[in-house]
Amino acid sequence: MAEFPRLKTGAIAQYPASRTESYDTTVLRFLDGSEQRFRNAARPLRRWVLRLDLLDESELHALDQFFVTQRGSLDDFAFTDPWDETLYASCRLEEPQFVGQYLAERRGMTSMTIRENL
Amino acid sequence: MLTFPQLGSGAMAQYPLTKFQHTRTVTNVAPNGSTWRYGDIKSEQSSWLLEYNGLTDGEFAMLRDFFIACEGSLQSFTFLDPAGNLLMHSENLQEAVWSAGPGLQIATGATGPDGEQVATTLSNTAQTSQSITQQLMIPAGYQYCLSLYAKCDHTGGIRGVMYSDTGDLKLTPDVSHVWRRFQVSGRPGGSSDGVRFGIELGPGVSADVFGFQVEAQHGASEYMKTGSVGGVYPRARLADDSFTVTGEGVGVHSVAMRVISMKGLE
Repeated sequence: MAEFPRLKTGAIAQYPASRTESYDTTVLRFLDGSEQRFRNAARPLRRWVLRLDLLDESELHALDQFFVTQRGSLDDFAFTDPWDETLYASCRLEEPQFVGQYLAERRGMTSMTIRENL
Repeated sequence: MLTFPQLGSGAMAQYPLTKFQHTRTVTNVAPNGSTWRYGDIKSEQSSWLLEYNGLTDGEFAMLRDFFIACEGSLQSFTFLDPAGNLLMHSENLQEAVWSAGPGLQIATGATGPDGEQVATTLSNTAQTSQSITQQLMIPAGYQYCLSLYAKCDHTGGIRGVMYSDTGDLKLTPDVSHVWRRFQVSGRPGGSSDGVRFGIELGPGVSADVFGFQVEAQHGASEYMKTGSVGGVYPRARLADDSFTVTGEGVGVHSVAMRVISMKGLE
């Protein structure tokens, strides 16, 4: 399985980056005010937003090609959590679009959102 | 065949340049939360936002004439990705896109400049120079830069080359037993489309090579690996039917253009 590419420094992400853990709870409310809750997933799933502002052309190109190879949000890949280096074996890109900005020589930026699969 | 014009400076674009990749995925979510995903491959597209500032009268006229020739978004043209490596299979010289001379032996798995086994060893067993080249159907009159990493014990044993139907450019780099990156920059010349890029090895010469790259500009950028898709888009179109110029001063213009290439049409 493909793995999310690391930068030349060996890092997965740059500052700032964010990670969200979410449960998926359905709440049914009844006329008498009571409610019933149940979970749609057995555990919380993680989502990472990577904002990469300091990339050179080759790094930005590698991310561009990774997006193309993964066909956007279609294919799964393994992703290493930059906070604790835990490998999450089944993740996907959240967005169907990749935007790479080439700002100057050896300076590019992009933003990518990774979502853990159930 | 129309080709997106190159500025007088030899660049295809200016900074900032924005490149987009678009995909479409249809997702079905089951009651238990599991998903089935299907990719709409034919709808995938690449697009670019090209913002030009400080254009001269001549550069502005060239872009406008191109817009008129395309009739806006009607006609397709060849687009050379200003943020990409124009070559295909930049590290796999055994692919069919590369043409090697009969006396040239190609072996993979050599240690490259970054310590990984990604380099290729070329050995010329013939009595004459042998070359390995890739042909791109792009204008021979444009400015290009061919770059690659090379390691060779024979001084003057290899040459970077660009061939067109009417001319060629060759450069003999200063190579050594350690990895060095060298580049050949110039305009191959001629009025037709079709330029071959690669290297020549002298008789009996062996060299390790890695990271072939061709860009439509003067100098080499950081190396960008390619696979089955290179940076030449033969059926690109302008995304807009409108062309707006802003006069910034006497003889100074700014223009923004969007180019789009649909994967299903490539």
